[in-house]
Amino acid sequence: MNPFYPIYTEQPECQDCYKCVRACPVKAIHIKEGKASVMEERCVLCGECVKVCPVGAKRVRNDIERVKRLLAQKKAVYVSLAPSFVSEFGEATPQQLIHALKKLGFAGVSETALGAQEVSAHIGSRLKNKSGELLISSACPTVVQYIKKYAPELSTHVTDLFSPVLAHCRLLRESFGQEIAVVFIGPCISKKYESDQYRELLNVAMTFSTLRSWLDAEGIDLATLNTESSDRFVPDSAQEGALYPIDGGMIAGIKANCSVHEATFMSFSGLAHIKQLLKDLPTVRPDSNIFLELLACEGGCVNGPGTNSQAGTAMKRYNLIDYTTYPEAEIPRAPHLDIHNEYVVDRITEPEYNQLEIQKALASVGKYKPVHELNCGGCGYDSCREFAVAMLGGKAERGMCVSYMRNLASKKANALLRSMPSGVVIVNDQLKIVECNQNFSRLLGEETCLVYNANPGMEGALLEKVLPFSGYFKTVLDTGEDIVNKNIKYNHVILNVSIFSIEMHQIVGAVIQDVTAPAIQKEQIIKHTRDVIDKNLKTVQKVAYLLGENASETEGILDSIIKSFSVERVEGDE
Amino acid sequence: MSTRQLDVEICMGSSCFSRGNNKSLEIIQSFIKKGNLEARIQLRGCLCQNKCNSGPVIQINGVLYKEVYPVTVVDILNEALHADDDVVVPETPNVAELQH
Repeated sequence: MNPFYPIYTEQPECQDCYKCVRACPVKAIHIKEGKASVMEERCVLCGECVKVCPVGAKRVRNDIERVKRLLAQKKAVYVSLAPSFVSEFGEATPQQLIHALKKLGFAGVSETALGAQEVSAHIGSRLKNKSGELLISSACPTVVQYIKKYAPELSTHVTDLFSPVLAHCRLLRESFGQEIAVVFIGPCISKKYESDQYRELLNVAMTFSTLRSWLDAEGIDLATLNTESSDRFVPDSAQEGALYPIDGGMIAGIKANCSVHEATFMSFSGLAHIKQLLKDLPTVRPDSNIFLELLACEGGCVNGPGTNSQAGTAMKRYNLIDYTTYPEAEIPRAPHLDIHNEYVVDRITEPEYNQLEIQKALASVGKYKPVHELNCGGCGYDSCREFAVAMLGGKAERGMCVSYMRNLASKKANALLRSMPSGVVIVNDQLKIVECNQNFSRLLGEETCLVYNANPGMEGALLEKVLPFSGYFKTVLDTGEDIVNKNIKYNHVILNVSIFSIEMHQIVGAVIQDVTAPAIQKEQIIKHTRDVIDKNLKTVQKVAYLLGENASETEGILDSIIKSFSVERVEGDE
Repeated sequence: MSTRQLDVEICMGSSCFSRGNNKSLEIIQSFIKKGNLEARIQLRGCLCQNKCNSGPVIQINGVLYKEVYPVTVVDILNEALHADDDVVVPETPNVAELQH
């Protein structure tokens, strides 16, 4: 595992819900000992796992310290601001946002949309010169990753151009010098990967969420900032490129650069959707150009994982369209930067398993026949077979199967109940039997035995009907305090009863033994015999101790007498 | 292509260690491995340098880096590797095997 990957798991907080497995469109989640981690080589950084994690254990690498370092040492750090800032920072004007960023220490703020316009210009001119081509946009780095890894046969159709942000970085470096640093701020976490790959172009990528917490920490309130006339985008404001972060926005930009008849334009968003629609594409041989705009986040970048805004997609879309202005006169644009980029295939080969291996894996979670395959999706995989394959691949474990674990737990409990020599009964707060074993019915006499045989477990039977001392159960239910080793006379026998809470005030259980039964008697005799032996031994030890003490005392006294006599004798000699 | 040699000394004192150098250590090790930089980066651990106040600390060729976070350590290494430095530090064949 790469500790520097843009998504990581805060291991102690991850606890078996498998929501990330379910949400991951490429099943790039590895579960080991109940903890999930992202498999970097399979991951396409769509951020779904970060969005769905209920305990926030999936985290996005926070690059704020890297940005602060850049600001501390570089003279000029420029912001490449993603156009979706319009929907994210709706409470402030663009000028206020620029002002705030400058306060944080940035030299200038530029719109990533400028890079997008460059991309549109390239694609527009390409479509004019070609026919019968299928082109897939390279604007969304997650889609590009997906195609490289999971649909490599389509990779030749991906436009061999930089993404808008990298194009923008090149543009900024042409405008302000190669030595500047560029920080992307936007809704996208996939850009972090782009930055890691093209560090010389894009120094750091950070999210809107991070910017927000930074502004909060610095006590900067966007809406109340006073702006200056110099608070404007550099080198220029963007135009149609500002539409990129919404469904169809890129196409609007390209269409402005070429005629509508030059290609059939389609736009789709949401990785699950894209996955499905890419399936039969490799066979398509179009008569005219087809251009596909694919965005991994549903509704476009405005709903990216790095956003905080809870507004609906329609409102975000409206905000962007409302903000964007472009004069017809300036379009079509001529491409003027070299933004050529090659995408190398990075195919993920799925390991193949034969039927026998899969059946064996299924059997290990108690699924011996097709009817046992519930396909409930509890483990995060769509079917039991997919889960079995994941287990064979080492990224899933048996404990993920809910039905297997439930069966196992109840089997364990059943086996214990059945083989226990004592009578066991479990009752609910209504004092109705939840479960009991056969020994319990035997203890209570023939009649109860008959009831048990008719209804094994005696579920639902009222305890007071079969037992005269159900009052003790009520006490334990009410007080929550256990009753241990109580001897109760019942018919002609004495029952030793322990009643304990299983679920406080909800469910109690009892273990009942017949102390008059021969086996128990035997045990009791053995116990008593042991007690006598122990007692004997203790007495002997005590006697020995007293004897010894007495002997040593006597010896001491005698010694002192001898001493006193011999001293006199010695003195007399002199 | 720069051929600068780096002598990286990472503080493994308990304060620095628990505040981020534990992760930074992993990152440096994987940085060296991924970039095949074994010959250029000598990594050593050291005990507390009494710099806890500005920790976690890392020293590269005698230069002290204060408040090094796991997320910034790659940037620091990259900068140090490509810093314009005419003096080539002689190789010290003393790579400590770090375990934790």
